[in-house]
Amino acid sequence: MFQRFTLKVSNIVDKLRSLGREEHAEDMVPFPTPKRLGVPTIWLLGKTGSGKTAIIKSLTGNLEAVIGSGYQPTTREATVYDLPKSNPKIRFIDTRGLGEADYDHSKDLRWHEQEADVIMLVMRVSDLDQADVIAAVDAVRSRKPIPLIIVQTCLHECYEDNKSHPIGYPFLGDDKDLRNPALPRKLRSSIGYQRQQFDGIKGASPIFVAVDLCEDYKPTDYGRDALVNALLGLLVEHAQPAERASALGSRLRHLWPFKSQNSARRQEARRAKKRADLTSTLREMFFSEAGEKP
Amino acid sequence: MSSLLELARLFARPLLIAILLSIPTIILIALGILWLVENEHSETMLLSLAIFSLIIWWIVKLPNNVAQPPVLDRGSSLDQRARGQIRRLADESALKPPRDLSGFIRLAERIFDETSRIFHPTTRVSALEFTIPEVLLATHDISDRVRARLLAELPASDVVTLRQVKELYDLFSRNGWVLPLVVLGTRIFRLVANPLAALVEEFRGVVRDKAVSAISNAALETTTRIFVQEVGEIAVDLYAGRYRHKREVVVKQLNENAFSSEALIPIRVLVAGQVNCGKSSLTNALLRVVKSPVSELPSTGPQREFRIDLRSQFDIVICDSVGLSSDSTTKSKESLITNAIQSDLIIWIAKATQPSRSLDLETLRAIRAHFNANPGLRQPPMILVLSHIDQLSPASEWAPPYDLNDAGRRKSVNIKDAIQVVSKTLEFCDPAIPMSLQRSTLYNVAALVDAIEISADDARAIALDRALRASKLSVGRIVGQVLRGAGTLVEKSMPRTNN
Repeated sequence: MFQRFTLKVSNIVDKLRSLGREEHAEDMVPFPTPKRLGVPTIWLLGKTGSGKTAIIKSLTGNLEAVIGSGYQPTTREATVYDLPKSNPKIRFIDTRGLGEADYDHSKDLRWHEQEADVIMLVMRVSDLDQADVIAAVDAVRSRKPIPLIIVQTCLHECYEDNKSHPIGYPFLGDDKDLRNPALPRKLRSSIGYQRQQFDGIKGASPIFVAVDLCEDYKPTDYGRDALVNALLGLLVEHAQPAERASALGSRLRHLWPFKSQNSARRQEARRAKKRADLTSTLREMFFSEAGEKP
Repeated sequence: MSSLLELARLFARPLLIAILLSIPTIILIALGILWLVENEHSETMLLSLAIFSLIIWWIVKLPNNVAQPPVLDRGSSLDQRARGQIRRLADESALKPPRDLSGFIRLAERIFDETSRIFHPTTRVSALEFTIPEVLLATHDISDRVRARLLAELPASDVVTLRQVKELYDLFSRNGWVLPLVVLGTRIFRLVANPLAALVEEFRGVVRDKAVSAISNAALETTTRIFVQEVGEIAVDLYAGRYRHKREVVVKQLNENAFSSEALIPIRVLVAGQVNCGKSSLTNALLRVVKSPVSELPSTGPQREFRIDLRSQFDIVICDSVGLSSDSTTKSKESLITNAIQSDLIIWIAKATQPSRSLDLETLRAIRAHFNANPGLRQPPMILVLSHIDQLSPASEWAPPYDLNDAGRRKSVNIKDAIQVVSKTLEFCDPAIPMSLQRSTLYNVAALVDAIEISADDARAIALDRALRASKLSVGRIVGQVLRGAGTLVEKSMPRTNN
């Protein structure tokens, strides 16, 4: 009986979703596979040319991802990248860049926020005008408190005369970066300025990662490991995909008045095991895929 | 005698000092001559004296080849006749001097009338048919000449003039522009409405301290005589067409001034673009020295203006505007639009590595829309600059110059492509000028200066247009210019009156 009820509810939800979709259909680029897979979904957001597609290419090793030349918008419609392609464990949504001439993003934002489990906000470290983007993220997170990773890209644009990455990736993602003499002064002040813009943002405080995936500087995946680790940490902490599948069931279980200490402990252990499993699968996946990268 | 004594008293001290200082030299001369004579060198001395005398005599006798200033041709027969007529009129009216201003106006009318009859016996040219600049010049001359002569011949009137000048400056300093503007403004309108009345009004300004009726008879006789003679002189010049020439000279001088380095209206060049696109760096590159602070962080300060003399051909005020930012609280877009409307040339900088250009496009469209909606206004020429090309892929490479047609070099291809994309996106007809603005990689400033030079004529036309429009809109502007002119004329006439 419960099962039937669940089915009904999911039917209704699906219908509502499709209604919403039709409403948007005429205004927006059709979203390729909008149906949720039940796997964690990462939404890449940021100004056009900030390097969203480059991050996806680096993370997934997907050769189909087309990276722009840096002076004109490349990704004109949202694209979904599943990893691995068959039997996906994680999904990335690459979206059209904000601030592109003649593009109103407000409707697309509303659309993507339904799907996303994590927002990956991408910004060029040399582009200090992020007020619009921050306002957009703020609006999304006031509706749905999605965890936020901020990826600061194109570090090389703030290098001074030495034309190479700081040795050994000395970034920590906190205020210590701003005092680290191993980083160029211009880079430190730009990183600091951008991070400072998020001081008063709503919801959980964001995680900051600095990367440079420019192919003119070696290594070409500077900061990728830090990004993967930050992403995994966030996913494991927030997303519990297995439990979500039976959300109704768990809710009903909460109503059951007789709860033993034992069962709680058992539940906790189960969760911990799930987290560990997820971490190991994802980690394996990311780092093996990386090897296939050209 | 008394004045001599006064002089002596005034110069007693410096004179004494001079005498005391020269005593040793004089003693030295005497001693020297004595020595020469005693040592039997007197012949040498006499010989040299003779030679020097000869040279001096020769110089004095040398014919003076310096061209004499040509004697002014004051004497065509028509002029002679007109002057005779005016002299008679002066004698006649001095016997019955006008007692009020309207009398002077009638007198002026009569002078002009009789003069015009002599110069144009068949067609009658009324004073109203002269162009305003001619009448302005004539009026100015009348007031100037009448004032100068009154000062010379009526001792009391220089007090009046000085006070008048002082009043003008006092009013100016006390009330800013307002009051003298009103005074001068009405003067101009009066001139346009009735030039003759204006002439007299000018004249009245000279003697207004004493009501005309209150001046003593003798003074009034002199005043009237001067008035008739001077107004008559002007009338002769006016009808003989001399003011037309004079006017041409003045207009020519004005034009020459307008294009010299001391032009009244410099071209206002606005440097615009998003935050951190390189506005200050570009300003500094044009100035050739660092004057505008450059920072990798968005500057929050007000915009700065710098005056430069570019290739010593045109006078430019560079306005380093506040960068466009998507942060709506800064109102950067609105202020940039207002700023652009008041500029004569706009240099729009687009960063090559910033594909997000909606802000630029929105602002540019608003500026263009403003000029489309107001067909009477001319849109300033715009130069698009593509900055930060050194950071285009491959970013680690920077070895200018790049041949944009070199398809083999990735950097060249990217620069060329970026120029096309940016020009098209921002709806510019001309291709962007690729530049690198960082001090260590400064590149292609000359191309920008060339582009400015090409647009300079347009920009100058717009600058003049803007000034004219401003003057049409506010009386203050014309009057300001007149006041400035009046200021120089006052300065010019002051030393003359002191003689």
